[in-house]
Amino acid sequence: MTAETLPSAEASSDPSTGSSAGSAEIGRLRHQLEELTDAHVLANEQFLALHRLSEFSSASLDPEVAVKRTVDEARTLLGAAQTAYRVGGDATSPNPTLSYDRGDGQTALVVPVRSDDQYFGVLEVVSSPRHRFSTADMKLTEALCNQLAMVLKLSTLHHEAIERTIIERDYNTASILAQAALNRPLPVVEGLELATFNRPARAAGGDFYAAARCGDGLYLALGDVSGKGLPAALIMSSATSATYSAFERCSAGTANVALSEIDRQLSSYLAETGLFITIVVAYVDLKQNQIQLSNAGHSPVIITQDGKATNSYADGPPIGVLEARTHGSRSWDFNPGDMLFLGTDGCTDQTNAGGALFGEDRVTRLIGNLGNIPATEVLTRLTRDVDEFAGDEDQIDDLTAMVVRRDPEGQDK
Amino acid sequence: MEIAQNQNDPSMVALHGRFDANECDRLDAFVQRMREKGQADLKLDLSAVSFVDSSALASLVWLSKWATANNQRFEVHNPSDSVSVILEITAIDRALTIRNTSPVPQ
Repeated sequence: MTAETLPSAEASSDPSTGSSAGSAEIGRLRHQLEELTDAHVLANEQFLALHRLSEFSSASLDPEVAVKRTVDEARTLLGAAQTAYRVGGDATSPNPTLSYDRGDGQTALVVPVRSDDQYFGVLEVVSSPRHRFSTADMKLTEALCNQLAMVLKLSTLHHEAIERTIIERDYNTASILAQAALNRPLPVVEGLELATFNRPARAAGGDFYAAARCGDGLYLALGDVSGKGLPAALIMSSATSATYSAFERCSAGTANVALSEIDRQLSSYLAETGLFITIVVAYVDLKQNQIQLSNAGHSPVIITQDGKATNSYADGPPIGVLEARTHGSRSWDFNPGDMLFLGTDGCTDQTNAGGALFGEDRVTRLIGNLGNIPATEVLTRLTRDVDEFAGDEDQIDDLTAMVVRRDPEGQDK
Repeated sequence: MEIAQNQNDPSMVALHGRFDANECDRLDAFVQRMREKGQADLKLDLSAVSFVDSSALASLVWLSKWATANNQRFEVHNPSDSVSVILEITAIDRALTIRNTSPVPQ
């Protein structure tokens, strides 16, 4: 309303025409005032609605809450007759903001709610008969939809993060339980020194070992389940149990019978999983000064005699590759001072920054050059050399080793 | 690792590079697509494979078992020296059909 629109005093003083003209003018002005008041109230309501939308709390991450807020505030902000959010719709359509005349004087906006490449749904808004949507309304609706998409995206990420945390927690728990299979104390046998080392590449691994007295000797086993991580660890747990069970069933000095029993217990299970296990079983016989080895696809297996290291290779494929079978064995002299080393490919397959492998030859040379040091020291030296070779490279596979050394001459009790 | 199917012999697939646990799913998917197109026989050329780990060996064993169970053919062709050593040490060579042949032109 401007000064030019105010009624002049001269016009209202005319007795014949002034009062009706003045009344009409007053009516017009009153109508304008009402419109301005309505507009002011609407603007205030819109301001409050925008302010409410800008408020953010953890509760607003709930998709249902976010959608309801947007639908409610859109109705206020746009002065709409109806608003609705619909999941689905044409996700392939370009970013449209449609405005069309519904034939009854009303207009409607259909705006997609999308964030980057994720499509959530559409917001549909129908205008009141008094107010047709304008370009500014279209832009405002797009802004509302962008904000809703942002909240829905955040909600998705929030729930995914929670799920990942739960999965990680369950994975860690399962890993601890699987690795517990290796927590049995090692047997003590007079005249023998026994040491083991195990370091998975991840939280849990597929390497395992077992040792149990039998008669006057000692059963040993060391194995490696193909693959890595929790799946291999779960099979490792079963394999360790099967190994100890076989040791209990078998009489002394039958390493190949023990391995055949392990194969029998595990072959069906392995066939279902598509995995295999390389494993070597040894029986250390102090009375016969012999060590019997039965080897299904495993390396490295090294015997040192008089300071000379010799590799003992597999008699057949790993268990799980073929159907359960009867395994063979080989016997070696095992005199005072001699040593048996069993390892897994965590040492031979370790790479350095240049891509070179630590390799079986290097392991054999190292074991052969160590002399009569204690069994635990053998493992310390091996792991130190492998780690120094690797440098900053990640541990490539589970590293496990077992050493049994016969006490040197004159120290047998 | 690169996987390439021979155009002159669609049953021949050559692997190039390091074949380890990170590549097994890719090879499985590649072989599955071949089977869906009607190509069930598989000859895997390992002449250019620099390294195999236990997961890769398990893949080879699994392919061999599947072929046997489905009356199809699976062969390992021209394994590189490093692969041959691993196959011998583990004695898995006794469970696979291994052939050393002349290379098939692409």
